[in-house]
Amino acid sequence: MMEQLTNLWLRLKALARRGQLERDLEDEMNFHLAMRAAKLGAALPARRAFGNAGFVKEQCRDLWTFGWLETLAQDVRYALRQMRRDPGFAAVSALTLALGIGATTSIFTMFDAVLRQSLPLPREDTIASVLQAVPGNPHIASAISPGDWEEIRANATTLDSLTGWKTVQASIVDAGGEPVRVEAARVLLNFFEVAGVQPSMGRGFQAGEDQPGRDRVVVISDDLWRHHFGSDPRIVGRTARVDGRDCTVVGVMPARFKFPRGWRDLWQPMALSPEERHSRATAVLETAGRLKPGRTLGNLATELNTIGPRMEQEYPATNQSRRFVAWSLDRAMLGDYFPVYAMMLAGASLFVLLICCVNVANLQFARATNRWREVAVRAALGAGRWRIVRQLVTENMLLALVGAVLGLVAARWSLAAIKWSIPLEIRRYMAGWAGIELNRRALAFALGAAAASGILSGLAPAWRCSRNLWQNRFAPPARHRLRSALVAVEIALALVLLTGAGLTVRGFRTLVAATPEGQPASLLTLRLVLNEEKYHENRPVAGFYDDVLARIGGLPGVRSAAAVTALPYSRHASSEQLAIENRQMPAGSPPTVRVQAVSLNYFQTLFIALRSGRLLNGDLQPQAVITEYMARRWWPNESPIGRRLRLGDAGHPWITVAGVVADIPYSALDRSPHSMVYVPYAQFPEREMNIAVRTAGDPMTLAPAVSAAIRSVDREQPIDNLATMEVLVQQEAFGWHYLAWLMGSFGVLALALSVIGVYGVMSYVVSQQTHEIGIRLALGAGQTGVLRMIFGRGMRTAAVGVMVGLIPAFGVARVVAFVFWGVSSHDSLTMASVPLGLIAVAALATLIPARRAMRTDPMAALREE
Amino acid sequence: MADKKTGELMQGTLDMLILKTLARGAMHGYAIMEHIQSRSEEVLRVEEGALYPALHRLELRGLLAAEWGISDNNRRAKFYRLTTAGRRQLADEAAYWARMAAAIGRIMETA
Repeated sequence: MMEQLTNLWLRLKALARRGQLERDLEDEMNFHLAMRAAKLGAALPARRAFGNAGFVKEQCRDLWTFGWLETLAQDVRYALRQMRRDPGFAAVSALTLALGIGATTSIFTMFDAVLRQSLPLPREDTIASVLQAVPGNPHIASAISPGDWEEIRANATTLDSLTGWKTVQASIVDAGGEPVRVEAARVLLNFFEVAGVQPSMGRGFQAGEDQPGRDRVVVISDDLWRHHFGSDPRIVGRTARVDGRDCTVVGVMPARFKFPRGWRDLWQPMALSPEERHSRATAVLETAGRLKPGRTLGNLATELNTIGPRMEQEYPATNQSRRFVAWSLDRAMLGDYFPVYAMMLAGASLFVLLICCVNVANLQFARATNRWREVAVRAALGAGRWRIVRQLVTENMLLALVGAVLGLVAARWSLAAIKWSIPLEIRRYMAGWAGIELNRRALAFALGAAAASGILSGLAPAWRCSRNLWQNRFAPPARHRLRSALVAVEIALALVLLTGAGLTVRGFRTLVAATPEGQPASLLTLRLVLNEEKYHENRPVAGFYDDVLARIGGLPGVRSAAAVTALPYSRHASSEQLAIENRQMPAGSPPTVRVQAVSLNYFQTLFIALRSGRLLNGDLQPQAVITEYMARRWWPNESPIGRRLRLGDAGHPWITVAGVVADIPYSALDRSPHSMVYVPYAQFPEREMNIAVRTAGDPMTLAPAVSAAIRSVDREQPIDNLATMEVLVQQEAFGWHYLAWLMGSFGVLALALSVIGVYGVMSYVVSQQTHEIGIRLALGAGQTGVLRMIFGRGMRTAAVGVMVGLIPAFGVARVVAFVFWGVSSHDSLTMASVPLGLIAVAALATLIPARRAMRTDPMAALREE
Repeated sequence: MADKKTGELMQGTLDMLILKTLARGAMHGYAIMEHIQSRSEEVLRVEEGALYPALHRLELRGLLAAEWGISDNNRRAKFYRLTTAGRRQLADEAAYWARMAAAIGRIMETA
């Protein structure tokens, strides 16, 4: 330690007195030579015996200096001088790079926050989620049954532990007596142990608290504690009313705990009866477990591949062809589509950065021609090629660094705009949004991007500039082939990006066009979840909704009020097994259909057209209305009217099909219409339903009256998601809207940058060939001939670029088609218009310099020499 | 070791010899070289290309201190002397060397 300090101190001292060091070394060597000469009698043999005194001096000096660091300082000083000499070039380069770095850094920061920091759990990499595979779609996986959970927990040797939970909504009466609707999780007892986070106050759940009746304990979030319980320091042990039951608050979680999935405000033990605990029929548990040290997700997956079939043999009734997958927690929480968005946007921003680099490289090439003399002088004075390249790249790095600083400023603004523009609902859904900020990682990323783009945009020109010198040909670099190649690359990049952007925007428009024509702006929607204990019988449930609909329907300004299990775009759904009378249903995997319990006026309220038969009526006989898609699917050659079907297993009643109604889209994620059965809620009551209120005027002005009407039926009833249908549609499509918007912006940026690139190179080509063009014109070449020559050259470059870009563009199209239903990777409109458009724009950018070339005055051009 | 390159010194050994030489008092580079060569009866030859970098390295390590003075023949010369740390280092290395030499010697005698 001491030694290093001495060393540093001495070197710093030497650095401060650089001249002194140089003189001392000189003197020391001279003294040595003199002593030796005095002994040997002559200077020359002394020098010879010494060997290379200069080399020894060099070696000693290297010991004292900071080596490469000082050379770097020299390079930087020189680069700064160059920038001052040509501030226009420096500004354009730095701004171009700032654009690219700013764009990539914003995107990086955004997804870094969402992907990485969504679940701040300790040693998250050792957590795995065991889910049930969904046949035919590897991108989704479903929850597992408690019976399967127990079996896997007991038998998976790669797992140390496995917990499970179910996300629910709950209502809790806060300190002010107001019911608050919160996102909650019913968790197995080992939940907090597996998560690796314990309550910051109080405790987690204890053995026995998962027994029905003993489960009246809750853990609340820091946020709930602060905002609804006034940060009560003695909250632990207090009683709070949760879903109509008195529960003891036993703990408060730390502020950053957001598990599972985004915001949670309440954790309750999952109380299961012995039958439920062993059930294999109901897939309710999402799971997470800790892998044994040294074991990987892959090990777990392999093991699950043996456990799955074993369970299938053991429990053929429930587990037929049931398989399990091991997903990382991130994947289980975010799903497969989100990373694809992330990849698309990251890719798009990266392409913009690359195009920026190509443009800067092109600028460098233009300048290299003017600089080759200077480089030649440096080479003649003994600078090695590497040294020269390093000098030129350093200049670029400096430009990129300035670009990074400017880019970070831009990223700061754009991130503020991004955060500002995300609606609260989405923010709640994705815990990471709150963490979007320019942190140290973003800084590191921006610097990395700057370094990479500095090298990328500087290396080729520097190499090129020094090549002739290396080959001892002291002549300026002549051909423009490399620059043309760069422009072709640029066009290829732009093509890929524009294809992605075009398809994304198109996909989004398709999606929005598919939203219901049922005038979503005049529909007020909300969701009611009836308390399980209060409404455990069918009659009061139906009665409650009858009362609510009657009171709302009676309000002035309300045209009709309907109830349904799950409104379109409400992100809820309910399905049941389907059986059809006198028909053999496929064994093994029984078909399922979406089931909607509705009030009789649902179809009129949502403007769903009747296709055949009749709508639901008040008859007591079990009746149903099915969708067109379902009618085609199950009764392709006959009328379904009058046929009977059954929902759920044997023991449920047969239901007569009364009519067929039009298909309507239910979710932006849908890839096709649903087989859907509408039944009257009077016959099949549901505790959780959406209410849709068709209003004459602005729906939101009726919101207070509607809420009051509901509270007049049940004072304690919480009301959720009060919003217009239009807002629901927008929220559903928000992710896509955002994606389309960002991709579109990147596309426009790419287009602009590549046009600048083409224009720059062609102008340069023309300016370099003025002499040649002059001679041609003087020798009688027509102006059109010159135009054709220049124009043809630009177009050849553009065509090569388009051709090179087409292959990756098709790859990008497949990715977009994966995200957007209704977008085909062979979407002829986009796939044809993007290349043609690009060529047209390139033609325009070429035409201007080409026309300038055409008008060259031959005499003036020749006189220039 | 004997025949070809008469006594080319390895760096570690050279460092030790420099330290030992300077234990007698401050000296300039040329004198150090002369001293090592004469004391070894011309068996060990010190190259300038090794000597000066070694001196500067030892100086940078804080084992030697240097100051400029006037030599016997009235020229400006850089004199090196041992620092306290250098003395300690010399003691360590001498002890180590003695142990090693004795051990190697025993093997060479018995074998």
